[in-house]
Amino acid sequence: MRRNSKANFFISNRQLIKDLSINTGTTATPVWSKVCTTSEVGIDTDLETQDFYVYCDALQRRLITGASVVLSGTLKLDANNAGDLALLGKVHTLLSEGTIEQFNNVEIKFDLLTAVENSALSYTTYTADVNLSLSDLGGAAEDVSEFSFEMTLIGTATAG
Amino acid sequence: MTLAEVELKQEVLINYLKGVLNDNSFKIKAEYSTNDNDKKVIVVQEQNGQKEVFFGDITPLYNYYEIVIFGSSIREEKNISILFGELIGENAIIDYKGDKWQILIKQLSNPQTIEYQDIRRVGYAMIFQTVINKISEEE
Repeated sequence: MRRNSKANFFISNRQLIKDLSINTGTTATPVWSKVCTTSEVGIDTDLETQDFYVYCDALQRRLITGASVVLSGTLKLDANNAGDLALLGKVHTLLSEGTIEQFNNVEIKFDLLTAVENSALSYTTYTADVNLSLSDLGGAAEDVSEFSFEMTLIGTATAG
Repeated sequence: MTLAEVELKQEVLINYLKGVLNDNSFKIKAEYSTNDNDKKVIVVQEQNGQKEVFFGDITPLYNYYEIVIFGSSIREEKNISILFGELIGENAIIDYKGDKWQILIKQLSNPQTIEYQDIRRVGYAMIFQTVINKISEEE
């Protein structure tokens, strides 16, 4: 089947990034629990830039000096999902033990769309260490409980 | 886009819904092909609706289909409409007449019971917001 240059193949967001999971085991023996109830996931590349001018030229120059990759999303809480409860568990640890290391170097895994071959989508699976921030835990009484998360990648992700 | 292509998109959707329903007692056809003799029939008809227009040579996005279900009881009609409603979020890749098509179902709206006085039936209608698009062709 040839790929028609005039044909468009639109992808849904859940085909772009999928299978976001967190390690609910240990680094030595990882147990990947999918946070399947996520209703929205976004990936942002936040760029750090430096602005400057050269002598006698009023046109601003801007250089990109760095970037951070952030995965953000909204999770609908599923009490049967080990991944969801593990994320909530980190808040429990903060409350009872006063530690913050559970938010740093959280191991996650996700698939990102790479290419299409013969109308079949192929993905690259990334394993990454992130620092995790949770917000908007709770809401209106009758709503399905949800919270927002932000996972900022620490360094590069391992493709596997 | 030609008139033939407009009708072809509808055929692709009809073909897909037949597979989803998997019930030979129901006919699924275009609205203009239905008649008095069809007792258990699901009719599909493309409508106009809000589109997204590209800066470029791409047909504006979204195809809206009104699906009306006529069955032997209101219960059967409503259950089928719920079954179809669960297709939201799908991006199915279909093989149709040698080409590959995608059916991306975005949302549905306006589910209601309607009465057709002239052909003496009560049906159950809903509108699907979809993207139906040919993604590749046989060489």
